[in-house]
Amino acid sequence: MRGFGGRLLAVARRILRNEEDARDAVQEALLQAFRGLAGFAGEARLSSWLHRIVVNAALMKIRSKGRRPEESIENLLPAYDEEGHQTRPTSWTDGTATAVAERTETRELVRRRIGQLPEIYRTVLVLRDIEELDSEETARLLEITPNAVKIRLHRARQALRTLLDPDFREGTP
Amino acid sequence: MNCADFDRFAPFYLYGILPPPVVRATESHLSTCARCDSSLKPLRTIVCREIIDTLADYLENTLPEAERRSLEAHLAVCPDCLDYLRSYQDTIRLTQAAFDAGSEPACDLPDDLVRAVLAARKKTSG
Repeated sequence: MRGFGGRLLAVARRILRNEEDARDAVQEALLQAFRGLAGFAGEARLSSWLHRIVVNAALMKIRSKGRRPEESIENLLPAYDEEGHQTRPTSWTDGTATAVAERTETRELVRRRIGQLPEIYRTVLVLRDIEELDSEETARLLEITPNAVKIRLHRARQALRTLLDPDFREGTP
Repeated sequence: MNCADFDRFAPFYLYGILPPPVVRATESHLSTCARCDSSLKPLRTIVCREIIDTLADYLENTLPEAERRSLEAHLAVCPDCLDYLRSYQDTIRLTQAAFDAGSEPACDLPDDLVRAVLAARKKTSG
């Protein structure tokens, strides 16, 4: 039981940076779930159903705070010269990222870097690469088009790659 | 040189890293083969920016066949883009590993509500 509720809080934490907001979102989601149980058709597993309600509640929480001006991530995207070639290519040490991915300190580092992404990019990254929702479902939840999801996800991954680059590029101890 | 040879050599030809005899054979083939000559056009113009812009589609196998071939031809001769692809894939792996079950900080939780939802669920389904 404890693990199950903990997973729901973890979902909210990934979407909301603020711990109090994440707890509020889970509380709200569980109240909604409790009220809406009669409407639970039983086609999905209860855990998937609750998971979805938590994702929705977390996104509602973001919306309730109003839209913030979009932060630019241009400086985190690859730069190109006039001919379209990368101007600052870097190489990551082969296999290192995979070898250290499971370490606690690597996981913490990556979570911190994801936390540095502007909200609209972090949200898409969380829903697509971590919660593993498809583009259509993500688009529906975020009220944007599947193509916008695709573009944001690619930019989010590129920006995160840049943020992780100093820790994984060749020559990093 | 036949068309299969040409497909293999085309990206290296474009990047000017073939030995002179192979360059001559390639150009001789191009002068007589419209199919290979036209297939070279997209390869001539594709640049790193376009490759990197389409990596997500490439990894999801949603690129049209011709674009996929162009991309792979470019990767075969462009170490910068190949490095970028690898680090992009690493970024996705690191993201997923960062949130694997049990990897996040421990948390207490609103157990009463979870319990109530589950109990009510049992009643409605029972």
